[in-house]
Amino acid sequence: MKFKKSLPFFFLLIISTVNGCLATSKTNCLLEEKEMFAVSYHYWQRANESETVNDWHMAQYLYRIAHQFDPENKDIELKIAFLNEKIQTESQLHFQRGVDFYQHGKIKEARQALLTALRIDPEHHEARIYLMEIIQQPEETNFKVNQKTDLKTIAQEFYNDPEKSFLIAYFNDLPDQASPPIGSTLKIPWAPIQKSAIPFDLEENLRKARQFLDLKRFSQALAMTSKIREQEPENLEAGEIEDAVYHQIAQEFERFGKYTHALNTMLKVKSDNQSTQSYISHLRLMVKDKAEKHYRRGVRFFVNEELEKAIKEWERTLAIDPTNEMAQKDIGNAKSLLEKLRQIQ
Amino acid sequence: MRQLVAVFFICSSVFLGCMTQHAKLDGEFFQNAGTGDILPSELKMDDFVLVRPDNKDTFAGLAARYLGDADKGWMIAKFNRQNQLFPGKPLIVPLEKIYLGGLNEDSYQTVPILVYHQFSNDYSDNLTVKTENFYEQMFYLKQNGYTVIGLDQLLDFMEFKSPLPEKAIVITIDDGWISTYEIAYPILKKFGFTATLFVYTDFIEGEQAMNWSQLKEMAENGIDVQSHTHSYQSLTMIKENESFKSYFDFLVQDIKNSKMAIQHHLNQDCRYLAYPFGETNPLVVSLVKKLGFRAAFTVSRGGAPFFENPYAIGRSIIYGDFDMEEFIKRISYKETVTLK
Repeated sequence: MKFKKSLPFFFLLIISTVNGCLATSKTNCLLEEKEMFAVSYHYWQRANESETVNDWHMAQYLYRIAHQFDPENKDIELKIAFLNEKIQTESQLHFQRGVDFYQHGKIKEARQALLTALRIDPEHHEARIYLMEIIQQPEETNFKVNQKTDLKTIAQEFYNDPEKSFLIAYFNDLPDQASPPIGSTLKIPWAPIQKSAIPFDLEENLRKARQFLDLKRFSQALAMTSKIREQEPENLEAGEIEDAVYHQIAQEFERFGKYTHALNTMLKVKSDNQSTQSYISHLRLMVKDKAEKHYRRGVRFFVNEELEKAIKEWERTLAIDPTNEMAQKDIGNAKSLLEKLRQIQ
Repeated sequence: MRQLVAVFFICSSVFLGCMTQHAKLDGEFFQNAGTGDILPSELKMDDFVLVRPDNKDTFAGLAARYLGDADKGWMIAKFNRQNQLFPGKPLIVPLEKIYLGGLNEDSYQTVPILVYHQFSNDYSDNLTVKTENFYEQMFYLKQNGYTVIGLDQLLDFMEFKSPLPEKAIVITIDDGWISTYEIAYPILKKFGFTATLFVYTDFIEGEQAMNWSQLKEMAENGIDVQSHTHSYQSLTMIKENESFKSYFDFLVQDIKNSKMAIQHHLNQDCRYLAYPFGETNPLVVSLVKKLGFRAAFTVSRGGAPFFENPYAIGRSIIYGDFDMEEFIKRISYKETVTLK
């Protein structure tokens, strides 16, 4: 009887507690109930679309969002579980194919299969490791020290050169004369074969010379062509590259108004075609013109009785154009005049 | 008496229920930024946040708030299939790692990385791009929805940590010519683009080069300055009559010196290297790693997929005689391949 009397109170107690809990339900603050179903349906539809184009990872994510807005929907729960299973199985299948391809040396196919595994499951850690670390050949070799040894012995083993032991020391933060502890693993970096041991490769050297030319590294381009000429003095292509280098250097000099340098450089060009000749003629004119400008400036200084400045200008004229007789004669006159003036003073 | 106790319990629980609701409303759904403004209501779940933006919000702002990176605004836009925000309309900020690696059923993403050298108002040659052409190229990127990113973003993408917008692109300028400051920088600023300058530090302060204060000014305005070594000599060529030891010592010094100069003058970390002439070998790569670089770049043409070797990332040189057709060939952003 007592229990019966208390029943309505307990009922109210439960209702009010539930009310408190519901009030904490976050979604009803942002969205009303009908909105929640609409949002859930929207993401359910989008999940369906993604599933249709085999984007299962995105589909699963979208179903999870839909489920948050409709937590009672068992269909969505089933979809999520189904996709989970599918993602795991399919990605593992492609990963295994990738590993098989890799082990058979089919790198392109291996990469494609591993990328497919990752597309299906971006969290497939092993597929990522294979793609980004294993397929890319490491630069270093790992060497496990199994017995008492020293770096010179290891360098002899790997490089056939005990003097390269410093390389192993550097990359393993060890002193040069160290004896690495047994059980430790050393990084053995790759080392290039010394130049003298490399056979001369004409095509490779020509390629490099052309590349240096393209990058405007003129001295390196010329160093390459001179190396080619040591082996093949009559190599036509090396000659063409050299001419192109001189032509470009001359243009650079011209751009900065250094016409004499430009002309002297162009005179090294061996091909005797019309464009070379006309460029040389053009530079000769520019040289004459520049020399003439200095000469006239010298005359102006002379007229203004600034003899030292006049001499300097005419010396510049001669530096540009040593054949300028007027400048030669005027320097002589100015110098003797200057001497006389000094004597008078 | 028992009835009184029961009434007390009922009142308490109703009161508690209401209080909880208000606590949630005040404390969690409506956060105050300290400006007195009410921020958009939000609902944080494990793998997404539901927000109802207000008219002050932007995608970048939401990305900064919820994803910790304003540059990820595009992710929110893409996920919600919206080009613009509609105040009051709820949207979802995805917290799940999506779009990683730019992998699709028929393609994967590649990030074009462009290399420029010099610029000129008057002429163009092999490595000198005319001002008007550079402007036209940048205009094309802007008009066609490209997002210019920095190297940190590129490396986050390559390490599979973070996705990039579909048309992400990197602009790099090599050497340190003065025309970078005088011509390229104002144009980049106009378009709001960043760029990475790979400078060889021996050249800086030279007659035709930028000086450190110009580089500092650019670095303070969003331009990244990184290493192109100190002396710009090939890292793979052992000179005639040079011992292997002195070749290796040169490598260490030439790379270290540039890193230290950049750190010293610009007070910033130097974590990226462009190999002179784009040439490298496995020893140089080992050394670059050992010296703490995060990535290094060649000049092999083609965009970078996420699985590219980070110490041999290719870049495409933009030559002075390129027309727009040639330029467009260098900015392809995906590789077609079947991934199913």
